[in-house]
Amino acid sequence: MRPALYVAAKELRLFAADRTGALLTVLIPVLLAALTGMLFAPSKSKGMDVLVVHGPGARVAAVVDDLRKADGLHIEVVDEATARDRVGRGKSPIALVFPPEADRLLTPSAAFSGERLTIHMLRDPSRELEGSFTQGLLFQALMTRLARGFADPAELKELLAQQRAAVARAPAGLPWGLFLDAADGLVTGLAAAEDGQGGELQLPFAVDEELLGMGEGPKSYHSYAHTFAGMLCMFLLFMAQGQAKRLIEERQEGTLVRLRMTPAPPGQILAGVGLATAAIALLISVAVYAAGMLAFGIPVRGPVVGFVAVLLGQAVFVGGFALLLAGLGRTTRQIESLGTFAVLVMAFTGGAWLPSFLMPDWLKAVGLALPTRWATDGLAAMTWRGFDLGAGLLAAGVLVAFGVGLALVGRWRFRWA
Amino acid sequence: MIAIEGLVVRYGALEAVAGLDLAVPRGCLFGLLGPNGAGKTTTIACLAGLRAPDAGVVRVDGVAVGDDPAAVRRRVGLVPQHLALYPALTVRQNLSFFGQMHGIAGAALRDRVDFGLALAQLEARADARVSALSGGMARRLNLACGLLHDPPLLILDEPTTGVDAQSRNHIFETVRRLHAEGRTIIYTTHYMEEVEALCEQVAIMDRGRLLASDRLAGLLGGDGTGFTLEAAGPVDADRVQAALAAAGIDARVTPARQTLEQVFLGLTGRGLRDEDTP
Repeated sequence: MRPALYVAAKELRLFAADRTGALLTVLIPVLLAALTGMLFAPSKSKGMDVLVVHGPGARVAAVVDDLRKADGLHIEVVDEATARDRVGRGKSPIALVFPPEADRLLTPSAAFSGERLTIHMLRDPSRELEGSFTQGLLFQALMTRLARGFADPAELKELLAQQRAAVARAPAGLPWGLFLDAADGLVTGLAAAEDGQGGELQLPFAVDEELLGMGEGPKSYHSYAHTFAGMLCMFLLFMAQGQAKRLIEERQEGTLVRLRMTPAPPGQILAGVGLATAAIALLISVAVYAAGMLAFGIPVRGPVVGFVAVLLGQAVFVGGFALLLAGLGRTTRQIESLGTFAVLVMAFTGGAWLPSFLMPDWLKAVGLALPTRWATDGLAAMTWRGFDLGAGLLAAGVLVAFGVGLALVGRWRFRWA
Repeated sequence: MIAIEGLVVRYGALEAVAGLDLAVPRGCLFGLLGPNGAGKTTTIACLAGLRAPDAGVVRVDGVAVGDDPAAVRRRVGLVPQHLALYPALTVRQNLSFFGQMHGIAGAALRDRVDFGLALAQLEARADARVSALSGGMARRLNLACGLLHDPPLLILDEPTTGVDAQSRNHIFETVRRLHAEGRTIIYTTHYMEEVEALCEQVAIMDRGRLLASDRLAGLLGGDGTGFTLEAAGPVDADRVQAALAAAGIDARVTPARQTLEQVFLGLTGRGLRDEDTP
C-alpha cells in the first residue's frame, strides 16, 4: 500500500505545483454554480415578451391591463405589421392579435348570444412552451373580464334586455319553460364536461394559433436543427481548447523556439495555428451537419450560401478562441480551467441548452453579446427558420469579427518563453 | 563575428547575466563553459534574438540583434538543448517543415532535406516517426534541423545530452566538419572534456559573469614541465626512463592510461548504432 500512497502524494504535489491552475479548478465550479443558481433563483425579470395588437375599447384595454399585471409577462402594444415582423424574425416569441370586434364580444350578453371571440396568436415555432403559458394567462384574463361583466349593472341590464328579446321572439312555450330548458342544457353540459366528454359547454372565446417565420416553405420548429447547432458550437470550442493546449506544449517542448529562430514573423506562426483550428472546425461542422441531415432530416430552409457563410464564420471564431486561450493560459491546466469555464458559460448563455426566457434579464442581454448566441441564431436562421441571406451574412460577419478580435488579444498576450 | 557588450539580463530580482563582454571571431569553434545557472542559455537566447536584454547590445556581423532580428536569424542556426522536434511527424516531415519555415521551397527544399538526412545519417529512417527514433538518432536530427538554412553561425546548446558514445562521437565529427567548412560555432556545455576535444577558444561563465576567455591552450597554460610522447608501437616505459636519464634529463615517465571512452569505443567500434527503440 505504501507505494500507492507515495505515488498519490507525488500526484498531489504536482497538482499543487501549478498554483494558478489549482485555484482555477476550485474557482470555476463555484462561478458556474453561482451562475446557474441565478437562473433558478427568484428574480426581478421583466418577464417574457408578448406583443399585443388591439383596437379601441375599455374592455379590451382592461384585459391587456390584466395581462400586464400577470407574473411572467412583459406586454408591449404594437401594430399588427410590427408584430408579424418581430415574431417572424424570432425577435419576440408571441403576439396576441385581438380582432376589431373584441371589445363588443367581451360582454356577458355576447357570451350568451353564442358569438365567440377568437384571438389570433402569432407564435415563433420554437416557442411552444411559451405559447401554452401565454394562452393560460390570456384565458385567465378573459374569464376575469367576463366575471367583472356579470358584476357590472350596465352589462347585466344589457344581458337581461337581450334575454327578454329572445323570450319575446320565442315561438311557443312559457318564458319559464325557456329558462328551464336553457338551465337544463347548461347543467347537462357541465356534467358532460366533468366526465371528460366535452359536452355542449364552450368557453365564449378561443385562441387561433399561427406559426410565423420568414421566407417561404414550412414554418415548423425542428428540434434537431436547434440541438445540432448548439452542441456543435460547444464542442468546437472544446476542440479549440485542445489546440491551445498543444501550443503551450510546443512552448514547453522547444519546437516553438525553433520556429522563432526562423524568419517567419511570430504573428504568422500563431496565425497558422488559428488557421488550422478554423479548418478543423469547418471539417467537423460539415461532417456533423451531414450526419444531421442524413439521419435526422435537418433542413436548410435559408440560402445555402448563407448557411455555409455561418459555418465559415463560426470556424473563424473558433480559431480565434484557440489563440485567446493560448494567450491567457500559462499552463495546460490553466487552459483547461479557463477554457471549460468559458465554453460552458458561452454555451449556457448563448441559448444552446436552455430557452432564453428562463434567464434573468441581465443574462439575456449578456447572451446577445456572445459569439455562441450569434452562431446558434445564425445556424437556426439558415436551417429551420429559413431567413434570408442577409441574416446569415450578418451572423457570419459578427462571428468573423469576434474571431479576429479574440486572435488579436491572444497574440498580444501570448508568451513565447 | 559576434560582439556582446555589457549584456545584462534579469529575471525579476535575479541577475542571470551581469554585464557580459564577449567577442567570438569569425570561423572560430568557441566553447562556452559554465555550471548550471551560469547564464549560458540566457546569453544564447539573447544572441539568437529570443530574448531582449535589459541592458547591453549583441551584434552579429555588425548588426545589432534588436535592430533586425529576421536578418540575424537567417545567419544563425540554433540547435536547442531540448529535442525541438515533432514526435508524431516523420524525420522527413520534420526536416521539410523546418526548411519551409526558413523560406526554402521546391527543389532547394528537397536538396536541403536530403542534406539533413545525410548529415544525421538517417536516410534509411526518413519515413519513420520521430517518436520511434532512439535518443541518439533524435539528437542527430535535432542538429540537422538547425542546419537546413546553411547558417554561417551555429549555436549548439548542450548537443550531446543523453546520447551514447557513438552518437556523441558522430556529433563531434560533424561539428569538426562544419567548422572546417568555415562556420563559426558556439558550443555550450558543462562537460570540460567536450570543450577540450573540440574548441579553439573557450569562455568560462559563472553566476552571470565572465570568469575567463582565451584560446584553449592559453587557458590550460603549461609550464614546460609536461610532455606527451606518442610511440609508433608498444614501448617499455622503463626503457624510455633509462634513455632520458642517460641523456641527463631528470624526468619521470608514467605510462599513459586510456580514457574509459577510448576503451569503450575501441571495444564497441565507432559506427553508429541505429536500432529501433523498444
